[in-house]
Amino acid sequence: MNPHKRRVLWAAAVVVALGFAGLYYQQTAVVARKQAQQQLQSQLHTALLVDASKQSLPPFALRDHHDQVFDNQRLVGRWSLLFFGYTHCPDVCPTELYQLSRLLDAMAEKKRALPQVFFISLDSLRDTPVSMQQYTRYFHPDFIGVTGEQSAVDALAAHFQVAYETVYYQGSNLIKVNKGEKIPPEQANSYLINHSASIYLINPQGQWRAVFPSPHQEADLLADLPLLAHE
Amino acid sequence: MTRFIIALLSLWALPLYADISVDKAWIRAAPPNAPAMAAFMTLQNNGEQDVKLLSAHVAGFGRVELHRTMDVDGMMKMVKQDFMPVPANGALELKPGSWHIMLIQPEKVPQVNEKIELTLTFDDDSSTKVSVTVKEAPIPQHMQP
Repeated sequence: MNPHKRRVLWAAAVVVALGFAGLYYQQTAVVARKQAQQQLQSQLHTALLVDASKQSLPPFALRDHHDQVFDNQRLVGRWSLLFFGYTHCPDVCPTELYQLSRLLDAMAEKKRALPQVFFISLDSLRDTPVSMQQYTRYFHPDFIGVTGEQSAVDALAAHFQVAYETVYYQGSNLIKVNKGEKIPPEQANSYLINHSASIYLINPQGQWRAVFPSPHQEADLLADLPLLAHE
Repeated sequence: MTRFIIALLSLWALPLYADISVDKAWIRAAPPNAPAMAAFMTLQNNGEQDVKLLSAHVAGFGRVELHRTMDVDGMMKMVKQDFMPVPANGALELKPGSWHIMLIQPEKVPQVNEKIELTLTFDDDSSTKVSVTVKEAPIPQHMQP
């Protein structure tokens, strides 16, 4: 074998070895990351970590309660909590927004960095930036209400697997409004939107990190948020 | 004599009436543009008969309905109720995320510390008036007298 051939063979061997080493390293990194996630999950009180495949949010463009664009960029740079609901909500939304305000107060007392809180309306027909502002700020001056085209809200809600339905009562009869169906004008003020009450955690990269299923205890959120933020 | 018999009869009939006491009542404070509010309380039935709360009346609201929030596979459903059952020698607790009296279309959203009068009507034709204070949250257990 001449020296040139030998050199080529050596080079090839090194490339193959490096390739295997790289693969091995990648594999161990994946395993290590999985283990770290499993360990973190076991420490969390109620938060559920989100699968890697669901973490990137689809592009969205809604309006905040100042009538400014609320898009993916608004979730970059700080931790954020998202909650979906509507201002005609008699029980669930006031409960959750009050709890979230208590959470921020408790975090402020502990001098922790506060997450942004967005209250996203599932009710484009009745909620406007103006109504969202008045409603949302009542619970906390830093909370931001979000509304937008129903199709845009639906698309974002679908990513988070928010379950919701529009219903109204005729006497004691429950009537469900299917997608595309019109709500009778006499029900315009009284229809209800049943919805899930989960809280979604977005990391400063604008990725969905975890979900807090309902019902929520302030202490659980208070304990889980630093675990998620300081991993 | 007739009067005496009527008096006697009414005395005999008394225990048939609901012996309901209302405890820990509060109306949750809401934003000034809130289209709906909720009232919570514990209905205590000290009698030997099961009682149903059939309706509540509150001045200053377009409609008042009995509702129950129910968690159905993670979706919180507002389910309108024809009545609320208060068991004999028992109680029904109205609280956030559960049974509540829904106060719809306020003429003006009452402020914290305002008192609102509720009239509760039961299935034995008895009714009870309660004065309920608007609060951000219920009084914690340890602070109650």
